[in-house]
Amino acid sequence: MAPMFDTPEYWQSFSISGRDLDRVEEVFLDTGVPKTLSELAEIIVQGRLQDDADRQAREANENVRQYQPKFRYEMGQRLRFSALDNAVGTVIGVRDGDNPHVGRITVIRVQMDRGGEREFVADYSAEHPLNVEVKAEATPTSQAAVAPIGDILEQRLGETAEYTAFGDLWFRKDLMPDVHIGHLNIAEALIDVAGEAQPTATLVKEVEIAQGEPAARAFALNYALAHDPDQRFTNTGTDAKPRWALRQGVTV
Amino acid sequence: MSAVRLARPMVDTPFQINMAWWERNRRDFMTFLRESSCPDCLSRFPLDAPLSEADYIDAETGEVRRLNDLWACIVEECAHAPGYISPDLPVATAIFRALVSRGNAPLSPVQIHQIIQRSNPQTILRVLTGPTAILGILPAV
Ligand SMILES: [Zn+2]
Repeated sequence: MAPMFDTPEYWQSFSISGRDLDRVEEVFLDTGVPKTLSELAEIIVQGRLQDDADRQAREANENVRQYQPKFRYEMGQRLRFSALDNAVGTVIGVRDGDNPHVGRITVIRVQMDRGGEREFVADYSAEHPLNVEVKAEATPTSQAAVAPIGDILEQRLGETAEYTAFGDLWFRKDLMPDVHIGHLNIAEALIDVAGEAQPTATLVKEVEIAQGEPAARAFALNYALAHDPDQRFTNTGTDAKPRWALRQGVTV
Repeated sequence: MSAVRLARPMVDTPFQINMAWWERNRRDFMTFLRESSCPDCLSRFPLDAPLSEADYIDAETGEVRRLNDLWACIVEECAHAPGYISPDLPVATAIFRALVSRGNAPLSPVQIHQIIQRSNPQTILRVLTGPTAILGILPAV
């Protein structure tokens, strides 16, 4: 069963996994440019869909069966546990169950592929959510998934020292081109001479930041202007289209 | 979510009461279990009465865990009483009760937070990953 992206329960229990963060890191390292939250969320959704497709293909080959309590299982059988994040394991023991309230049941012992042994009920036909027939998979619509992931991701990246934001854009600090005080002094002079606020694109052309993709240079410059230790600059535009003026004698 | 386990626990890493920890540290789990049950259940299972164990079936995962009579009683009764995980409890006790009330089904800090309705997943994670294990609560095996 694919993750049910379209159920409220999915989002209540959703959190960004280590694998999601690896993908986010990868895309920054590959492209070297800042990304919006919705771009990053899209990457996470696509990555999870890809993982899911890979898993299904793998299991079709390996003859892994979905665990449902109502069935009987044999030693050596391979099972996938949808309620345990689709963990897979092998049946290594079968015994009679013992619970006066539920009648005759069997208990299987399973060696989980990811480590550890667990026991599960079998031959158990009573009402249980896992006994419900598995419906055809709902195709996850990434549009529905992206917005909530964006919010959760924003919080997570905010808690992660490697990342920083300007407006809606996020970037890795270690990939940000260096902007030093000399660059800021040039920007100050340019705005002063122009006599009015200047868009980042104009400043970035003149300031000549050494390395990085254009989008990375613009991000780094915006970030540096916003965090100038002398607080000389103010953004009179928007975060998406900044226009930088000098705090003293602001002319828009 | 990925089946890959990372060495460092995160807010979605499942935690569980580790019975081996209680044995290793010679702590009396039953005392804590008694403190987590209501007077009604306590009188039904007095201190000197022998407790039998049964296979308890997890209502979500189908997992089977061996629970004694008192523990099963907590899962089926005490835990449903309003205020079972009251805001006055120390956070560690509240986390312990969350796990006890689910028959020791593994729970992540995110899920624990939803159950105890206080603090936040990051803080709960920090509580559970301090220098010493809290009430034997460790990442699920
Ligand atoms: Zn009770």
